Amino acid sequence: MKPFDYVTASTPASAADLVADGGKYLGGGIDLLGEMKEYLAEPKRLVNIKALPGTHEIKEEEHAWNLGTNVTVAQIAAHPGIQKKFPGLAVAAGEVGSPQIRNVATLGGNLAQHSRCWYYRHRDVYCLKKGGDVCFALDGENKIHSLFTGCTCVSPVVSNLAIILQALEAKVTVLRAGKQVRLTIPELYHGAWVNDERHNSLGPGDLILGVEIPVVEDLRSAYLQMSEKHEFDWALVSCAAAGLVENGKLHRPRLVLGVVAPVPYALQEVNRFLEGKPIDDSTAAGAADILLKNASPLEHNGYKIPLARALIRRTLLQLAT
Amino acid sequence: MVLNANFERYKLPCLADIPEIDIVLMDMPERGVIGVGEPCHIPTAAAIANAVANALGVRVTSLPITPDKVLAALGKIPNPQSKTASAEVEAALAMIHNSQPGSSGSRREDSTPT
Repeated sequence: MKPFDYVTASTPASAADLVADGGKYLGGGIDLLGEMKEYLAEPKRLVNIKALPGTHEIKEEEHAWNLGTNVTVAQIAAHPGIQKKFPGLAVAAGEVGSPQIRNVATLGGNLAQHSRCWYYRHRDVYCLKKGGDVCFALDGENKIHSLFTGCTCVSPVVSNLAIILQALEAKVTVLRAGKQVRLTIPELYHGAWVNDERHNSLGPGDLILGVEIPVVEDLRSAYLQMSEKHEFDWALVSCAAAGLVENGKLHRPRLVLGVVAPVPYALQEVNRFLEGKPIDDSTAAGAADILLKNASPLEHNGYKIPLARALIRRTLLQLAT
Repeated sequence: MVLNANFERYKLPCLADIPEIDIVLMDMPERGVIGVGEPCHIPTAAAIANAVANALGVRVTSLPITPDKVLAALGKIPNPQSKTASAEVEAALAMIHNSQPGSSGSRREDSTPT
């Protein structure tokens, strides 16, 4: 790790000023400090954003809930209101890392975390994501990598929260060039779909301030993931679903897959297919057929297809219960 | 030789992965005091592999027994797209195209998420 300055910002505007010219925002630091120890990130200055007012709160309002960027993953997992209103979100938060990590990791940091591709994470490997010419995963050890990509890099998005927040149609408030902009989850990650060097659409000075989740009466949500370990492990594939269920039929359905693409992976075509359908095995199989039809498995990640199919079925069936 | 770069991918089971353990006290004074630390490691993986084989009907012959190996043993993994020579050339061209500044080449445009 290289020497760096450390400052605490008291307002979002001053944080943005302080981070200019080679600085990085520091929330929980779970992802950033790992990158600094591995010499992947060498910021001149860390701008502590944990003192920003109002960013630690979960605000329940009639039409939307607002979660501040510094709300911890553990807070989300344990919040009784979230467990009741957005159960999929509470489950997704509970699957992040270990209890120690969840107590420190923040909502903003979870959304903005960088690739876990082992080639990217190795300090001596100069891959596409770091500005090199080669994606070593394409013909290398690609067990954890993507089934879909819009560019060449096949490192998948690993944020659990992004997957369920997309199903919940949440918006992310970002401070960008002095103005607050509200991005959908697809907008937040689009940069990683089209550009090998991006982990998301955030620019160097962009700061996530919070997430707004719309309240839809009687909306159900679910999240499931499959990992190699039961606790403290990354998902191999994750799946989130949300929708209304009337007489056993789905309405306003949203189905999203995680860890299969550089972005949370969803297709409007799938949501249209699911509209009005009964929740059963054949509906789930039909949705999986459409969602996975263009999958391009690499040498070692073909198992993600049957895994995704199983998760889609289980997650949809969970909406029915 | 250990190939894992770190403990993120060298996976150690944690409490949630460990089944309930039965402890049986052996009253065998004729044996005296003996160590039982290492001997338990020898049959454990084999016993688990046997249980998995019993459940699946097929054997997984390498450790750790991960979801990808189980699905492969069951024949559930679709064949990876066979890489033809022309696909290799196409990939190489795409790579060259992508490395030019200002270009945004796309290998799999038809799967763009919406």
